[in-house]
Amino acid sequence: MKITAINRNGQATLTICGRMDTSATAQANAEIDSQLAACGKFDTLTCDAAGLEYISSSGLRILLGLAKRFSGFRVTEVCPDVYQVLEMTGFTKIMNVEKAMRRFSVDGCQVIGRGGVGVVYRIDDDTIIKVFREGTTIDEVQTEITMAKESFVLGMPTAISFDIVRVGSQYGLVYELLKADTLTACLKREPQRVDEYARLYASLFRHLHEIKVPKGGNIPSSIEREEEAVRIISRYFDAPSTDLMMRIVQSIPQGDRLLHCDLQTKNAMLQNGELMLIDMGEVGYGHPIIDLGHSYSAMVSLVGDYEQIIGLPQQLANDIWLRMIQYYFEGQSADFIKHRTEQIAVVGCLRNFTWLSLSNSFPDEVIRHCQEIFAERVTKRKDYILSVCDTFKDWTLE
Amino acid sequence: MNASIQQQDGTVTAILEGRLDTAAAPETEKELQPLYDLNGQNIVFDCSKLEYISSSGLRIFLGVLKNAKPKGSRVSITGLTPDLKNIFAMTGFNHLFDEVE
Repeated sequence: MKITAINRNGQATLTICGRMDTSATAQANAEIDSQLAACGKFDTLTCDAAGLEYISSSGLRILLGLAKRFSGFRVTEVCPDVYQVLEMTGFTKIMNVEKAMRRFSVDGCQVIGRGGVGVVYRIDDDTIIKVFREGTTIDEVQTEITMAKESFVLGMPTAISFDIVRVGSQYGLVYELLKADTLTACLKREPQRVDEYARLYASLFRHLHEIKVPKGGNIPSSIEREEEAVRIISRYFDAPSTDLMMRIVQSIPQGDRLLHCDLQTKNAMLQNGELMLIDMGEVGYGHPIIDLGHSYSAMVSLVGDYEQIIGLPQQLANDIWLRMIQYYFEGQSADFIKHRTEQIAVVGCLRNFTWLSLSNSFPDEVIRHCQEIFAERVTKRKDYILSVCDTFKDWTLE
Repeated sequence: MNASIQQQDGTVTAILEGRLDTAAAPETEKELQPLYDLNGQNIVFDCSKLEYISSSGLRIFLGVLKNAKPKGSRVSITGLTPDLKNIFAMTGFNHLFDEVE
């Protein structure tokens, strides 16, 4: 049996490997004490049991002793055999025990997509796995699964997410496989159907924006996230620019609607004539202008290499967005739709820069390019932008 | 995939058989249309012969639930296999219905 302990900023981890049987426990007890003493002062203690193969009753008493000495004691990465023992003896009820994640290999699996967050593989006819890039924390993966579940239960058309697994040193999230193509792929293949697709795209937005998010759930406020994004990117802009961005954010009305916040055509999949959503990392609640603004910032006013990021010729992507907004406000006058589009464009303009908050490894030239565009599109048009912001309050929700 | 509806003593039972996958969902939704016209009767989904369910299948359940709840119906699910029970638990659907077994 091998026992080690480390202390990371007051969070100590005790690693126990091998068989914790009766003959080994006396020695184990002494070893644990000396290892913990060497750790110095710590606030929490976690026992990493990934390598623990067997535990006897005397081993259980050691865990019990640790749980009594250290409040908040947790045992993590417990293998199925050991978990069964802990469960049968009632230990799972008296201390915090976490099962080991299922291990999964993607060897030989077909890659079906690559994105900023990771790589997606097909497992079988019904399921896929999204393997998050190295360095993604378990909390970030948990957030994604929580968002996907809560949105699904509220009625957002999206794939079912299953469990979190380990793929080597990375985390993976297992999802239902949608038998579908992205709206981007459909448009590319049959650009002549743009009007039909625009109608579906609009009804997906309308369906989402009819869903009211109840208070007290895990879905975050999109407006607070927008404010946070402005704070993060303030290091790239001078104070007057940051103030201006904050004024735009603060003029956005409150709302309780479900928002996807990155609804470009590549994040919608066409399945049996119905659009489904993927990539739920930015889901939130708020006023629909945020959701429409974000999609505008991608499909219409993108800053960056258009075809590479959007995956469509710019003219076609502009065309579907402008048709979409006509269907979204179907039945309203042309002047009304023009007014709403101007409001959306202002929020979109903000997103063209707050997007920089999503990563802290953008090259200097990308940042410099954004600063130039900001001066041209925002600073120069400050009076116009603020006058549009003043009209936001006319967009009331039923 | 097969879906049928039976009525008895104020309870309406929808019997689902086979794989309620994405391809089968639109047809199944049509077959379950009568559930939308009920007025407060209780609804039971009998899933003892259901082998698989996709998100589009689950959303049919959700649609029926959202329509029936305001009218005062209880909506329950019976006969789930361990695999399907797992899907209900993982998606959080088990908490939406009055009874899931």
